[in-house]
Amino acid sequence: MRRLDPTSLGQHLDALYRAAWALCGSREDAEDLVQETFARVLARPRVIRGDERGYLMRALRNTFYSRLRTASRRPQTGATLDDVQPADPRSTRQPEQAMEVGEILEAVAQLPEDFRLALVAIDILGLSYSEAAKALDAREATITTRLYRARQRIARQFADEPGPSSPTASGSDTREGSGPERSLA
Amino acid sequence: MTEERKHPEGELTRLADGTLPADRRADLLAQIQESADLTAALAEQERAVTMLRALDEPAPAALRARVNELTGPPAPRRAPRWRRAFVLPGATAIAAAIAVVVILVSGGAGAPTVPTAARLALASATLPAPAVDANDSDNLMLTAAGIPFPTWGAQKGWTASGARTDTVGGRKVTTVFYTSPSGKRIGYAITDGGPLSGARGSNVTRYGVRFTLQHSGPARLISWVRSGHTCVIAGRSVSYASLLRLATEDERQEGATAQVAAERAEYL
Repeated sequence: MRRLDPTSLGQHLDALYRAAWALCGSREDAEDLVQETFARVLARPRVIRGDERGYLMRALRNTFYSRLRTASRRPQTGATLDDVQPADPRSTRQPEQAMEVGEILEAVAQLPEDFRLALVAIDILGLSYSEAAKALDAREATITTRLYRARQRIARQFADEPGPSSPTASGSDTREGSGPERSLA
Repeated sequence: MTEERKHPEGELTRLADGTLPADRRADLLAQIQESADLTAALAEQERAVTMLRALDEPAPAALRARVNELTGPPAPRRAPRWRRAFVLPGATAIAAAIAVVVILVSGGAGAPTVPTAARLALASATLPAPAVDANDSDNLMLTAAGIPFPTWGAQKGWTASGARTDTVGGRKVTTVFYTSPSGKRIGYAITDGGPLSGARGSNVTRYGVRFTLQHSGPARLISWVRSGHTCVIAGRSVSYASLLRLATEDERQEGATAQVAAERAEYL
């Protein structure tokens, strides 16, 4: 057990933002969710057990549910022009790249909740299976099965580029660093 | 028998992301080789892993600024002017000394890095495409640091379309460019000498080799070390999955056969 160091939390921001986007299905909601999660976590000193990112995943999930409950109590209104999502306003981003990321994360957001949480925890946030099981209050074997189904649905939804053959069965992937990719610049 | 043995999908999930314990790999790989369904299921899992773990969307600057306000330490109090007058020249000298050490250790300001090699892989060709090796149809008649450039044509649909050689920081970088039937273009650069710095991004291991996935705007690149030399494949509007397939193709022949044989021997 140790005290949570607020200054070290910034290193998880990019991964947490992608996780939030995959949970909400919208870039704007993801920004709000991440900010609210950080505000809640930092509202008072925290003592954590284990991994910081696992703790943040729990906090993100709890904040997400809390926002859903709050939203469900609000009166519902029809869509307005304000609800229309603009194109990515950041001029430095290439449209096709932003579209690819957005399409994938929004597809994740459409998965059944249990599948989505397992996939977000392990493949997007980079938790280990045991950390994910703790963060999501589920057994490791359950998380593994949910992850399998989630990946299967995502892989089937996105057809691969034509031409090249698929890799052979003997290959395997290992993510050795859970950090986000970095730009060359 | 564990629960995951009753449910092979659990083991496939872990095999695809490299977390399956070694003592269970050989058994599962043997099952996969005998089953088209398991082979297809593993390919799906691997495709999803590659796609999801290569996502590179950073948090927007405005969100980062708001979070920094929440997480950052309070601004330090400014030292009195008399103390700054003494401290600043000393700090500058220390910074300059550190910079000199860094430059010496890294091989000088002109030493090539992975981004340097990637820029060359995205540059224009200055030489014609090398011919296919008459004695080895898998490779071209061009090598760099003893590593032959592959043809890729028959299986992968990419054809060599040009080449270039450059010298950066005293090290030779050889690049071959390939074009797909749809007109997409990639560059494959191999740098003489030891591994380059600057490989920062998501890592994926295939056939025992670590591949690093990075991007620069619309350009994506994958780098890895082969026989002690850094190889970089880069292209614009080409998916990581496609680049990774090409990058792993060379390693597959050597690595996979040896790996599976070793695992089977260990299992038996």
